[in-house]
Amino acid sequence: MEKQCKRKKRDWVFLSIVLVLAVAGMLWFLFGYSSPGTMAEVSVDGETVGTYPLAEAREIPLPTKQQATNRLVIAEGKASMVWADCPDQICVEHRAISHGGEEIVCLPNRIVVRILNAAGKQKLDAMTR
Amino acid sequence: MKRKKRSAGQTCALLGMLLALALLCNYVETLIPISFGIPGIKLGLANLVVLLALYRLGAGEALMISAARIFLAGFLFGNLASILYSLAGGLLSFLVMFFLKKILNMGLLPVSVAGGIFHNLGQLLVAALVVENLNLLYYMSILFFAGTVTGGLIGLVAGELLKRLPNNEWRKT
Repeated sequence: MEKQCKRKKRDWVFLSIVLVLAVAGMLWFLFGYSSPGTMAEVSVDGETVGTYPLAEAREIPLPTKQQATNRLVIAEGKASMVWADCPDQICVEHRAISHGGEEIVCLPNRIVVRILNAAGKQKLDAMTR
Repeated sequence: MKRKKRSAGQTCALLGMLLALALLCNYVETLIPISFGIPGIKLGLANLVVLLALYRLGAGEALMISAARIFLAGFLFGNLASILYSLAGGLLSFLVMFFLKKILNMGLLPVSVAGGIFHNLGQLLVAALVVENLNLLYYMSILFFAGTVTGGLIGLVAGELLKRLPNNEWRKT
């Protein structure tokens, strides 16, 4: 009985810690990117292939004009993927991004679209490197 | 009361049935048309079957069902890449669940929650490696939350199921 009680207590301690972390993570995700982004940086295979200002509306075939696998659209200060040749369409369903540090990733084609903020760097650099 | 040992044939049939169930859960889940605009958030229904197996049948059986489900679902609905992601998530989540249950002797709900979180972490790590971009890990903030919620729901359902499943058919060996 005592053992069971101890086990229950351990469960609840664990669950409380996880819950606090989860809520903190969600709040950070939702409100942490308060700095609006200015540029969209596109990288393929880990190499930057271009940066585009969010202020100019345009459509960009990726990775190249000749052989596009994805189409990125920048409009109203936001970047979103409108087409991809892969079956899972995860990047297409991803919400439009506009805050510094936000990313859209196309795993099958190894394309990453990242938003840079005014300083030209993302806040996340210090944390993840 | 002495229980009759399950024969190899019975074990095979039971595990086969559970595998089919896990595969079906996998499929049913793809029919849920909710998108949060964030990749990777899903219920993880198949983990329900893995949890049942882990608690009633044993770790080896649970691992077999989990791994077989990932390969079969990958061949049926996905591709090599999706198998890789699922495998990373599935194995990491299984290891953590096994550790929490066996070593720390934790209950179903925390084990399920941890399973949900680490499944997401495993997949995200592989994704970050594939695109060679560690910034991707910022997703973990929201995926941690998602894993907590979905793992919690699956844990609650698994708890109710375990209460109701007959004891004599569902037991270790």
